[in-house]
Amino acid sequence: MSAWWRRDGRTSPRRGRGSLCAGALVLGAVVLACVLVPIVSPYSPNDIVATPFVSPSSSHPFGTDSVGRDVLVRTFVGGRLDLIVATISVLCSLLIGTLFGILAGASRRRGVDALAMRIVDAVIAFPFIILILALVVVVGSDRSIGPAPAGLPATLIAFLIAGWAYYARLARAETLALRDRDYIVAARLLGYSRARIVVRHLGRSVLRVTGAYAVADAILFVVVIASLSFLGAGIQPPTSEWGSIMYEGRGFLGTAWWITVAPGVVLAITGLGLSLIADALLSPGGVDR
Amino acid sequence: MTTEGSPPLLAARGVSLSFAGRSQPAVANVSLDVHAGDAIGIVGESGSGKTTLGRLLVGALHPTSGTVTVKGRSWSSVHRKDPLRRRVQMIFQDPYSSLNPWQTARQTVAEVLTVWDGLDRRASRRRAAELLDEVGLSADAIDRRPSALSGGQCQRVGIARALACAPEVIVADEPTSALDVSVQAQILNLLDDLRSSRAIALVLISHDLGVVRHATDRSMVMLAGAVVEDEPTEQVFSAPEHEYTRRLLDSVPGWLSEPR
Amino acid sequence: MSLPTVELEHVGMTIGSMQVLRDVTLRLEKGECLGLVGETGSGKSLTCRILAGLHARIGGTRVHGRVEYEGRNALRFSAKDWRALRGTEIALVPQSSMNALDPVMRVGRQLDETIRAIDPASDPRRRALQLLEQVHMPHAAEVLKLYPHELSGGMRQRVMIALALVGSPSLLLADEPTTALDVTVQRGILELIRELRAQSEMSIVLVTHDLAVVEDIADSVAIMYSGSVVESGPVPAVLKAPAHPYTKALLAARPLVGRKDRRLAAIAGTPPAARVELPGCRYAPRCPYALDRCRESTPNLETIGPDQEAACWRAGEDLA
Repeated sequence: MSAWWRRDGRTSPRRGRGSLCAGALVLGAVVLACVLVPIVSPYSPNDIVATPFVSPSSSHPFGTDSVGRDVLVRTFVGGRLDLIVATISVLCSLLIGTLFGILAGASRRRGVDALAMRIVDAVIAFPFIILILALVVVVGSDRSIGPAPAGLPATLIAFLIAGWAYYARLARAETLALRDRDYIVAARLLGYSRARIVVRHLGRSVLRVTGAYAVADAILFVVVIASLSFLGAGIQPPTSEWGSIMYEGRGFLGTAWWITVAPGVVLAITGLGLSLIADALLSPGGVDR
Repeated sequence: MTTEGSPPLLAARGVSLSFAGRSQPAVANVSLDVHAGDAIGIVGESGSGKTTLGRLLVGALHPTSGTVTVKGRSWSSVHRKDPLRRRVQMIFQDPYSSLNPWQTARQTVAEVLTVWDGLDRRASRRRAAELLDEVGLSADAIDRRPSALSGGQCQRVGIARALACAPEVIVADEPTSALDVSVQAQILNLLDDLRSSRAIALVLISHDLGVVRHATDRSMVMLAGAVVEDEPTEQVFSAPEHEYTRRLLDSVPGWLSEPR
Repeated sequence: MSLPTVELEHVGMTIGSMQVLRDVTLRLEKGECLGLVGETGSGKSLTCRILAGLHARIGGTRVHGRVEYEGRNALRFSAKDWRALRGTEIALVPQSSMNALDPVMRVGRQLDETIRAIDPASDPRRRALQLLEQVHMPHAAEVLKLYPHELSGGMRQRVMIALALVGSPSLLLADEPTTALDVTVQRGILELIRELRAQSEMSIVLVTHDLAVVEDIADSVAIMYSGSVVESGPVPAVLKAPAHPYTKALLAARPLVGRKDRRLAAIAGTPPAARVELPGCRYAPRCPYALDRCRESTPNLETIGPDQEAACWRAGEDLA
């Protein structure tokens, strides 16, 4: 109908395309660097390859740290770990939370939904930092399991316990909004099974919302991983990781600033890329009406 | 058309529905028989309960009293996998929100065929294309998602999806009120064609008296949840009995000057 | 003879590279009610937007042609000129009163705010009451204390009309004012508009998709198709003896309350998208009377009767 004071998706230029491309480009560059730099570089991350505190130069673009390790290669080897841990944590939280939220929201029985939401509230109300510190004590900050370096198991477990709850809350709200949409009513009248409606008809629309949130959330995960190492509670030395490199460099900020600044800048660039993508995904004008 | 004497396909008996927190029932003591080939109109203004009645008829809502039976069985005893479930289908008012925004026209229709007829991917896609062609969706549109279709095209997809169920009754709730006049005519003609070619009974819910006059043989006028007039359409329009029906007719703009 | 309130001649509009309006020619005399009729995407709302001076708010628009308000070139008006005009000279009644009213502000305050801005000399409360009575609002004094969601659709639309009347406008733009309303409520709103016309010299542009509404209250009508006015003229002439095949088809496609024929005369196909350029008449692909000429060159609006114009190569012929 004619209502030109309402936002009209067809006449307004589609927003978000540009920021999606820019974000993908920025993030892609960081990922590529994390993959390539350690392969191409002649140095290995934990070897002493020069004298300490060499300032950035052509042979060591990010300089060397307090024991003479190459900061460039340490930054990008560390980036691998940060990105992988963040991706795993976010993906698990996203899938578990979304499924939990849809099932709660789509439940016909009021009690089920109420109980599910109280569980979510309880998880969200629990202080996250204390949870991690407690887990570090329980699991042990120096315990390494399989290929996971010391400190990582505790961090991962903490993320999995706490991370899904926000997604569950978001997914439930979206499900409640979609549940009475005509196409869901139609799916019921067509005799589709509950599982089919949840997965095929609710799942995708809900996942679009929680997925966009997940991209924004990934920034937070990367920052939290780095912060935990910085606090000494996360991934333990000598494994390089953005937070731990910055932690080690903090004492020399006045003389050897590059040790702290290099991983900091890469972290910031990663955050920028992710936030550009999240911005594009969350902006209106997408497929969903 | 009506096959009197034979048991009705769909029957409502003294159906009422009250929503929690409302003093007045949304639908009050409505009875209605739908036989094969019927074209029944339900007219009313917003809040008259016509949409709620439509949802009761298709079994999307359950009455607080009275029963809705499909081929003699109450909706509450029809499981979602029961073959009876597919025989009564609905066309919705909002052409966009009635389709899954992520599915193409073809996927929407093919899904029904895989679920009910166990067709494999290729067969269901081919059959879906045939059905979409039957409802007049142009070939270039069948692999598009709803956001890339016009309102009229979406409505055709909704009709094809219903046809994939091989329905015996279609309840159409304001199927054309979101469409332009020229498209409305296409959709109403299509529904009429399907009714005669596939012997589908049609229950058409509309606020538009002209639409009901054209598309139906029997009309029910609803006011505040109750049916105030239930007569052959011709009679409702030429000799309305209830005062409210007369008021509705008098309100139609331009109606006095229409050619008769 | 006084100047016409509004005159549009060969007005076109592009958004980016898309030609959304092609050839809009309209003329509205003082005190006249013009029905602007078209289907989705015909450009009737964009035309309304130009009339309200709101077209520049969509990004990347360019308007060409001639737009005149009482003899003045309206395309030269600055944003400030338009602001001064809107509310006092030009008023707008939108389709969705639910979206147009502030949901968390009482009706009284919304009226009060508008009255203070446009008519600061008057006593706001008395003026508000007087306006609500003018639009026949039942229990006007109580309505002032209510929130929009506590009103029915018809009552909200009356509030919108009251708001539009604050500045005693000389031009009222009503975009689908009754589309969302029930027929009995629509009847009341149409009667109110008719009554307001009788009381004042107000000119009205009524944008609608419903020819019956036009027939009910408009003096003249302009039919739009795919960005152009294809036929215009006095309501009785155009609706009784339409010259353009599209107008004919639009009239025939309506399901009428007073006539029973099972088959409706649907128009085959759909209008061309705005970005599609055609060498000839944009209705030709759907027109049963189209000749080669229609597909090759575009017809202009030509006079075919007293005040009646149509843009069709075969407008003069008797098309059976």
